[in-house]
Amino acid sequence: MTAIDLRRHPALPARAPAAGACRSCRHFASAAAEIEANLPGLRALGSVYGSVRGADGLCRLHGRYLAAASSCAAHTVAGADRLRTPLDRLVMDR
Amino acid sequence: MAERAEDVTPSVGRAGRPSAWRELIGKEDWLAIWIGLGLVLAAIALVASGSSIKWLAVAPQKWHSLPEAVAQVRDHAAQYAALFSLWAVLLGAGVRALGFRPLDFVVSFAGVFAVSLLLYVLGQWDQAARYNLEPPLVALLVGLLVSNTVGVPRWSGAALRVEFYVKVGIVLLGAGVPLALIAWAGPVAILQAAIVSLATFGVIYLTATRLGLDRRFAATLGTGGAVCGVSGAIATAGAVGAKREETSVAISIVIIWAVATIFLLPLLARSLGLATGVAGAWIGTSEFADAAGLAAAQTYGGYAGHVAGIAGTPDAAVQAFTLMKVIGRDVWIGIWAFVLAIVATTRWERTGVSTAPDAGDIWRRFPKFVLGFLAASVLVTLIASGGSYAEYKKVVQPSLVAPLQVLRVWAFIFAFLSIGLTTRFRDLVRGGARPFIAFTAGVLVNLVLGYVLSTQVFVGFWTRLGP
Repeated sequence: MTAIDLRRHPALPARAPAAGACRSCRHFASAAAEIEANLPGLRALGSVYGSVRGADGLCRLHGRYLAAASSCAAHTVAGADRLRTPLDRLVMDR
Repeated sequence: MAERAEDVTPSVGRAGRPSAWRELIGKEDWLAIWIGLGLVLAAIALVASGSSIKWLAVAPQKWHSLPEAVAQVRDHAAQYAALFSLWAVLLGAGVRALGFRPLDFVVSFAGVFAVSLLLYVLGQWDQAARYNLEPPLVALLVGLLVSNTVGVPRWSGAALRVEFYVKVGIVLLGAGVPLALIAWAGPVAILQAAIVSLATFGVIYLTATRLGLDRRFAATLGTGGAVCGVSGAIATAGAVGAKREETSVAISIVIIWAVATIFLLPLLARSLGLATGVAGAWIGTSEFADAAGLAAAQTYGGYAGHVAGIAGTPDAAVQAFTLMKVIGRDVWIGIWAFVLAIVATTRWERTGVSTAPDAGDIWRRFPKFVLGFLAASVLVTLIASGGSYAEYKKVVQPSLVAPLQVLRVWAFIFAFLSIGLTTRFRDLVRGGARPFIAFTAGVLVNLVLGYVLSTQVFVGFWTRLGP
């Protein structure tokens, strides 16, 4: 399906984030149960299990409800922490 | 106790999106299609073999005295037990595919079924209309009372799937709506719904932004009021990247107005003496959620033949509602979300998160259960077109269409009860007066415009839907 690449649109930052999409980010919560728990009332007259949600989810970092294809400069690959050694963490987190 | 046993993380394809197969067996819309169409095909097969699904599709009949009602249920106890088993297996398989524990579902669904049976029986009392004891309204009130006083355990959420039940019911409803009717009234529904949706969205969006609300929040509120309620709000919130709290506020306001209009719209239409088809069209134009609108439409359909001055058939209200709401409004949510995503990306202030709008979202967000509704209509229309009108009235209607519509009514009662049981007013998020004022402005325009279009401009179409 054709994707409209708006990263070059003049309204957007000149340096668009090159990071991966939210769907692979550790800050992105797309599990239906977690979304239901964070959006009270949703299941009364709606559903996170339906098609209309697509693959949207909650960004724990920005506090926004986002499409899975979104991206930002703070993207962190899910599970990246587990791949780092304690020494890596010490150096990188400083 | 945890509500869910596991989180079903969709398997992803090479593009990083959920695979097509996972969609087909893991999304509520498709599961509703398999269950609904499976029942339609089974019913057709039974009719073709000289039998019928009638025995299984049992429903309470009219009664006058309590002993009469008790005897009726006792005499058909085996059929009710079989019907419970059928629903428990089909719906249980569905919620299992969504990731819920089957045992949690069966235990809580037994309660949902038992209360639904009581409400269905109550609705068949020959004095029910006199005391406004229509099953959808009573189910909603009972559910609201329980959830807002004693509450329901978290694990029971497995069987309180409002949207799932509604989607199964709408697919079954397709078996009772001839394709010719959809072709005849569908374009009118789309035109009427488009006028009202654009006007409602415009009023909510402009009022909200004039009141100083963020544009993403305004758009989320706008589609919640104009397109498909909570589903519209979350689809747009995701497409434009709305804040989590603002999405919660939008959902809460939609719920408050949707529940209020379940009672308000049938009351107004009844006081105006509208025909069932006309009232169904108005409800379809002005209600905010499918489940809430079906509760209002089914309530109003129940007045036909019981309340003086209300013309039309009971089914006309639900049929007109479905054409207007589902065909006229719901199916366009993907386009709304895509267009608003483009506008948000190119015109609105930046948020630190970027999105590349994708035309593929129009299909991904499409409410697929509508395809099941259309497929059921095509199947039964093909069966009916194979014989004469006399054969249709003698065989197809009583042996195929009527039992499927009984199953549809059951699915809707499960949904109406579940609305009440999942609506806890203290959980709703307060967002101050401004979003409520903006949404309410849209509600007022929506109600008036919906009334004028249904009762004046297109009244000829909706009146003819009835008899």
